[in-house]
Amino acid sequence: MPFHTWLPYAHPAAPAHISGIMSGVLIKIGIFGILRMILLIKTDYTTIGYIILTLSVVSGLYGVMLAIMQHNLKKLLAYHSIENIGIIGIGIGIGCIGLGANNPIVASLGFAGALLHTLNHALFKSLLFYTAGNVYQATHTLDIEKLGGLVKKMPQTAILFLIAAIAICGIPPFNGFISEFIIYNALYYWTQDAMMLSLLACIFSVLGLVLIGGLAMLCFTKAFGVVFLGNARHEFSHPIKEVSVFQLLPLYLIAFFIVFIGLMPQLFLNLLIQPVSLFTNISQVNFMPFQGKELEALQPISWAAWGLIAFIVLVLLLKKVLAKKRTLASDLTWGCAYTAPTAKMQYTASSFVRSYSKLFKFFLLLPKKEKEVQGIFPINANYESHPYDKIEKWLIDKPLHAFKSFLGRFLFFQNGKLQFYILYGILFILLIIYIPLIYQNIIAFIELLKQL
Amino acid sequence: MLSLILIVLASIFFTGIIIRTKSIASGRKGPGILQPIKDVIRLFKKGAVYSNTTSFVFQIAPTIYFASVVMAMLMVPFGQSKGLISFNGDFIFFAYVLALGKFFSIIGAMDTGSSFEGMGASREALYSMFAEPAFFVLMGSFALLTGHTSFQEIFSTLHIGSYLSYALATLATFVLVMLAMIENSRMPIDDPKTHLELTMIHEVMILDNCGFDLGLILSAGYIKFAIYGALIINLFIGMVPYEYAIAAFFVIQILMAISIGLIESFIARFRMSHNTQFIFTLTSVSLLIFFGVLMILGKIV
Repeated sequence: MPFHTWLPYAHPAAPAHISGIMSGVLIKIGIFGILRMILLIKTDYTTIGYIILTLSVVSGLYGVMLAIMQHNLKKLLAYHSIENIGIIGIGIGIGCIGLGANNPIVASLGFAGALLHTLNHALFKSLLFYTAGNVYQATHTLDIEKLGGLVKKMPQTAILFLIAAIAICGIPPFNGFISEFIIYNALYYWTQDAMMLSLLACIFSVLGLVLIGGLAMLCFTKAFGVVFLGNARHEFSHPIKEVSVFQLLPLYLIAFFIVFIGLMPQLFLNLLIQPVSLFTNISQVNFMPFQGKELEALQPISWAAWGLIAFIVLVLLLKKVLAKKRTLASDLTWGCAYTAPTAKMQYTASSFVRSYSKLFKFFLLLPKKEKEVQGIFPINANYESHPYDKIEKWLIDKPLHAFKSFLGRFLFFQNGKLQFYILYGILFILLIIYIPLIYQNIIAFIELLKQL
Repeated sequence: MLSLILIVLASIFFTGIIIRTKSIASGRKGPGILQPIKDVIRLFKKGAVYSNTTSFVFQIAPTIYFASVVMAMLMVPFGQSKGLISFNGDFIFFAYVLALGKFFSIIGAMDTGSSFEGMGASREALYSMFAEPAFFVLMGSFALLTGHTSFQEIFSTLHIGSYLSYALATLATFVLVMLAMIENSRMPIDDPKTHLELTMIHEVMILDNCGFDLGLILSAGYIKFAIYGALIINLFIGMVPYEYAIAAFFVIQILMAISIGLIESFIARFRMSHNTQFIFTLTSVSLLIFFGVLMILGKIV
């Protein structure tokens, strides 16, 4: 968690397809490393589990809290990667605790949730980065305050972004829900035979997970609403058009998998049996995961998801049939009878999250520059804010700054004069020669003193 | 199946009773109890005006909102009889499917490009985020108490025996009533009958909806009320035979509607900036329930 600060800088700098691979594969190497180490070391799994769980809940919450404040679309997504790694970590933590408590059901559910969420995150996050790349290609900017109304210009990109956004919030009928559901299940199985302290840990991870979900919803309604909906907030000098079909094709493939996992989770659960049994068999219990009762719920979930989609289609058809007989008109958006609205009057990304940012002021760092409106005939007023990371400031920037200023005291060595550098070389050689000699003399002197 | 019929019946008269109570309390004659349903039928028959700014999102959002609420309704049990959809952990699905509806109603509001609707959307997103932990902790505590994770099993094995569990049921009722008020944007949180757009949450989000869409949104609201009422009733009727249980269902639904009407008549809306604190208080009340469950199970050392 305190080592997350590189990610939000790396993502906006990388081109979109690289960002997709970065969040899909690259940052999963950390998860792979943790899992590999768990297989290698045979030790006190309970303690490890608690440590992983605590760090994960904190990084999940902190990641999404910062994500909400971001104005740069890719930076926002980068902070969401931190959050999702947190969710994966919660799964791994619970799995370890299950191993430590010799509870194979909890262990298998925890690891299964973590592994499935790893796959899911790779899918929806890369889809989000690719669509962000499409937006960048079309508009040449990633500042969400300048975007808006893209759904009319780039409808396919908008739909793909929407699918991924719903999936990342863990909302059914897409794949994010399945893995979060498995993790919730693990938590509830854990409560059954847990005692006081672990119950507290459990209830706070439930709280953390629910809050992460809610905050993610706030964040992605903001991102989708501001980037794709409403009116354009900025006049671009070039025409904005949808990217080519070949660019969209791989995106549809990813979207297909997102929907597929959401609707057919059982298939993927069968794939998970082998890797998960690797973990559950550590403690010499021969346990095949998912044979019992613990995950038979996935069948009705997929039915419910199908039912939901069928019902939505049904109501839409009904609406279409009814609409044929009625008159449909289109007009301006209702602005309380004000008839000349401009795009500037729309809710911006910052105003959408303003009450949130006031509430969470304590955790956030939001330096702002403002010039207030004054007088009866006000001249230009402005307001600027740049979200920053409190942990980055106190744990990375300040120590680095202190270290730098300490090293700065020795700057006079590097004065650029060749003579001095030669002198340093000679001094170094002399020191190498004389220090052992002096040392020997000192030893001899001490020996002498001892003999006296 | 039984619960589905009962909830649909209750949703028909629930909002009407609230409005009737309010009109009696303020000394007006007021509309009949079935007026809200008549309104919805009238809306279904109307045409629609769509804003130039909107896209397909605005068109499908009310439908998905309605579908999500109906889906949630199918999961609510009634005493011993299961809901149409029932599985282990269905309350998680319940909460998340409602979140799907909220997601779409929020982006539907953002789609109009109106500053008012953006304001409502922002508030809705924030408040629903704070309300969700309370529900999860509440249901989680009951799951811990009964050892089951589906609505029907939790409610049918929930015995109200000792004094402590009476206290728990009372607290749970309080939390569920307040959640129903938040979910439906009713009085202490949001005033549905205010005249100023700046002070609304839910109503301001649907300013641009009309005709069929508005009908869907309104009827989803009525159903939501009945769903939460049914959940509260389920706390108490675990083992009671059906003939009493059904009577109790209607009595409690009517009582809840009347009390909501009375609350709305005599209490002012909270300050918007303090709403979040109030909503988060619900989570601490649910934590209280959680500790109560721990005491019953003897897990506190």
